[in-house]
Amino acid sequence: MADGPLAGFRVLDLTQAVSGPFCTMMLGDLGADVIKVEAPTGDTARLITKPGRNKVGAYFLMFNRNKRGIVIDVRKDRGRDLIRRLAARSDALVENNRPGVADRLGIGYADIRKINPRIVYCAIHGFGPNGPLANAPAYDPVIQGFTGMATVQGGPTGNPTAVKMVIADKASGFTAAIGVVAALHAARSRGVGQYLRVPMVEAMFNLLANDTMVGYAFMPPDEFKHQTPKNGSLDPFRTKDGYVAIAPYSDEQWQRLLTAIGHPEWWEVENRRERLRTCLRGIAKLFPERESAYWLKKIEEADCPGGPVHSYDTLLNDPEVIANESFTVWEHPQAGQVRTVNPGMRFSETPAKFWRRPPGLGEHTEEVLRELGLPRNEIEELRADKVIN
Amino acid sequence: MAEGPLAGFRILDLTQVVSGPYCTQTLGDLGADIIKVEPPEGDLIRSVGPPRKNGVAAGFLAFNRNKRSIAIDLKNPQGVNLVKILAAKCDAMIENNRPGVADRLGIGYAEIRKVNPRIVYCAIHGFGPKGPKANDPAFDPVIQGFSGMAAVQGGKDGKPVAVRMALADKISGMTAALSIIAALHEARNRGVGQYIRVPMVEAMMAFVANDSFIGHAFVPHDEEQDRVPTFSLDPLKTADGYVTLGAFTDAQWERLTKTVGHPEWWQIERYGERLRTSFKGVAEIFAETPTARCLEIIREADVPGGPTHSYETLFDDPEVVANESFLSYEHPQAGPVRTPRPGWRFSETPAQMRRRPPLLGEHTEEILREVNLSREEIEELRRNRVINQPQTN
Repeated sequence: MADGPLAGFRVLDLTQAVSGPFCTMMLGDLGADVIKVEAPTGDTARLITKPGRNKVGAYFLMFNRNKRGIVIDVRKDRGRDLIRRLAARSDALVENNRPGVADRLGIGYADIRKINPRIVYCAIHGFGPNGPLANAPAYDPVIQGFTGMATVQGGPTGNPTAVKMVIADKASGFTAAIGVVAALHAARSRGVGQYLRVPMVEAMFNLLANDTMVGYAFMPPDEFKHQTPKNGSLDPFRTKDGYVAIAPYSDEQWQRLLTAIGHPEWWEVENRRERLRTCLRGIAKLFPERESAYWLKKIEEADCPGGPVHSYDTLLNDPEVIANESFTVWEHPQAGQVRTVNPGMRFSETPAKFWRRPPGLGEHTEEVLRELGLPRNEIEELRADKVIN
Repeated sequence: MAEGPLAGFRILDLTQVVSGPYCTQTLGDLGADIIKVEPPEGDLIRSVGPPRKNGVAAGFLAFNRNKRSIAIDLKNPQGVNLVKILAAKCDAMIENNRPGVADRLGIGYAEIRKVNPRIVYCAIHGFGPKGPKANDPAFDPVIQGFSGMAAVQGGKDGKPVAVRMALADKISGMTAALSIIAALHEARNRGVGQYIRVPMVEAMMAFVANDSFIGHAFVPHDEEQDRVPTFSLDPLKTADGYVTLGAFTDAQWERLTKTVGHPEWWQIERYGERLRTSFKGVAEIFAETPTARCLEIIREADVPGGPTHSYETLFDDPEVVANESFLSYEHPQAGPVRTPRPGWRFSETPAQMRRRPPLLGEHTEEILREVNLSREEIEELRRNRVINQPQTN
């Protein structure tokens, strides 16, 4: 059962693909009752069937736990009517259609607020409302390119390079989740319902820009922009049989590390910048001489921030990950055992957790409509008219 | 000024550097009153740089808007007592010290709950509570390496590469922010106070793994499945720069191939080959076409795509200008400073820049007055160097 901090809140989820589903999954992780509305053809993420097992794609499973699924055909009048009735009983609604689509369907904020003035209505769109691209479609690579993410990753002289995951989608979903949960406070305590637009580019600016644009923070930027640190985060160091990460920060950590690896003299260079360069260059040359295990022990002895560099092949077997049960394996009725990563928050009283597996297409249609008070014959009729599954 | 959705909540912020400050900046953007407690020498990040201007570090400014600052010496028992007096009046408290440090100082959850049983107490630590690394120190590169992020970025056969920003710090801060806002519902509705631990490594795995580890989703692990690529597309080269293309659906590809004058590419029978031919063909055409024309093609075809910006070009894009996606404010020492606009557009309770990042101890007196300390008590604390001297600025 759900007993997370958002237990008691109901969220109507009209999203598909990644950004919206990641948002509502987080709300579900926190205990909200998420009702995922899908078209008869299903969330587009269900169409990604590789990797997959018994025709169940992993991609959909990864962003849709802790939700109930209902199928409604919104192209039909009665389908749209059902959505409005569900919205009347929900605390929040999230959608990630292209701007204008929800309005045309009669389920935009203007329509929904008439029947539920206290609702928090959140729309995730590609761009902000005022620019020439306000209604443009946007997928993750577009946002990574537009926001500067790809250029930051490519480095000052390299080719623009995307981060190799859908970081813009996920950052937008994360931002939307924070916005919705915050807005629910205003709704509960002050009775304020509202419309919340999360432009993906702006969500991404907020994740990306703070530390990467420091060279452009002071205006005019001319004398500072070349001072942007070249590497935001340190790359792992090669060893004889793999890689390790180190992150000494304070002078004490550096000195302890250098002593542990037998080169305290690298710290004697006068100029601090030159000193750090000497240390990093020295380590890059020294570490390939021995195995990772040796250096990990030295790092530990020095009590210096550092550790293994995992791929998923090794990560899942790390004693750390096992002891903390950071991943959960659950049983899917068709696909068998599936692994999922646990929420990154550990509450002492109201756990965020995996409490409901991702729904089959329309698995909870009848259950949800019964809760809405629809009699059996009405449900039968909707089914006969193919408004629901 | 209209209030944010978290107006009325007061948060005691004992964090430094990035993960914690990013969390509390988010809460501040949303309208909470953030009281940033700094040691007499200030948050470590105040001394980081370049870039710096007139002694002000850009790194500090990046993570500390919408907060008030009070400087307290926690090595002094009177300072510890002061933190407890403040915590008694706060809805949430957050710290990102190494595990055990807060307890030793006498401001761990066990002590704080005694003075405020309803408080939401959040600690950001490197690792989970039960493993061998539970008390280890951790900075961003360690977490990027451990969580699989560097391996994902390096690609299957490449060497591990970090994402070039403090991603693990920032994701941990966002995770902490979401968990605190959610827990405040329980605290308000049912009077439940609690302790939340956000292990950076778990916050990062929860963010990274979903789409990037799907080759490992099914148990037992299947090598064949693991070869399916999962990534976002790199920008495409043009004759004079780069553009980004994010065409995804069949309809989009059909329109795009038609617009570049090669509808036949999308007529190829086998799907894999059709997609490969179309993608390769478009990439080749773009490589010989100026960026401006490529952007026109993308617009004409009505497919997702757009410019690939650097910070040299981003701030002047008409989109960014029209939406005022970056704000600027006047810093008393550093002059005009640019900052990204909060990522939420609420119709009723705006998230906005309400306060510039504070000077060290700028609000010490104001905050202590609010918790009813008398002028004499404040003077005495000042004499004993428990708090900072008055700001002259």
